[in-house]
Amino acid sequence: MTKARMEVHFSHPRLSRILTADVSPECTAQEAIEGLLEGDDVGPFIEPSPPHRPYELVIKRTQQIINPEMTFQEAGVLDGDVIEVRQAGQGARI
Amino acid sequence: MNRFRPKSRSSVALLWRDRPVSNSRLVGFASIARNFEVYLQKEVLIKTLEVSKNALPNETIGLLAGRTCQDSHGPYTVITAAEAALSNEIESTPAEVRISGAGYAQLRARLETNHPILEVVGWFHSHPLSQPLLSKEDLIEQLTWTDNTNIALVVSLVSHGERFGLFHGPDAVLLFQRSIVPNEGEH
Repeated sequence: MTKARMEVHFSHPRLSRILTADVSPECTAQEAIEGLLEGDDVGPFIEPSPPHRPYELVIKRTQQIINPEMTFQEAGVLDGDVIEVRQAGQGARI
Repeated sequence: MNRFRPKSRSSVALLWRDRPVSNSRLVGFASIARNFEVYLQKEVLIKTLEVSKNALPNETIGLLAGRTCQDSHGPYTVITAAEAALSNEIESTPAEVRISGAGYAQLRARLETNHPILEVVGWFHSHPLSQPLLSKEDLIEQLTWTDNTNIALVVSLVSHGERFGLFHGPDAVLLFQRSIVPNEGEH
């Protein structure tokens, strides 16, 4: 039987920080990113991404990318999984 | 029903410790505009310069690790380690460097393996052709480092001017090197 909700740990794309959330198996990556942008009582967990640097969710255990419209169940997320919130970086000369 | 419900988040308690103003192994940088300082281990400057030279003629990028602490004057950041991206984790030219989300994740995992008790406190990259100031693209990257204690280090490889540029916070406030007075008996 599928568990109604799962506890999932999201790692910050830059910092050594984790946000733990209860997530429905029907939750999509896009909904989770919106939840991380909204954050909790402390404030947003992540900030709106700059142009061309969208966030991407990846299951740390399997390295499966969770595409924006994919649900956590479809991606194979399990209770207790760590989800890496990834974001590309860039530097350039002045 | 809400499909995403935040429960808790990890919090890094700031270590309460007097800032290491007299440690000769550290180079201090301070903000004129704000009461904020950074202390960089000299080996970090040496390593970032070395990897920047090794990457020539292209730019390179990496992460900085250390600890954010506080004392009665407020928070400050100590940087004691740096980890550079591998060539297969980046796309770089003499004028820019890009690292994918997967590349960043690999780089960070390597840093955390090599320095398991340190936290990621910032990033560095090289400017083979220009001064150690932040470009428009660099400022966008620095915006993704959302804590005021997060650091951007720029290593310039041009033959004149400053070698290093240090900035803190998402609004990239410039830090200036401060003089270090070693304690008696410390060399």
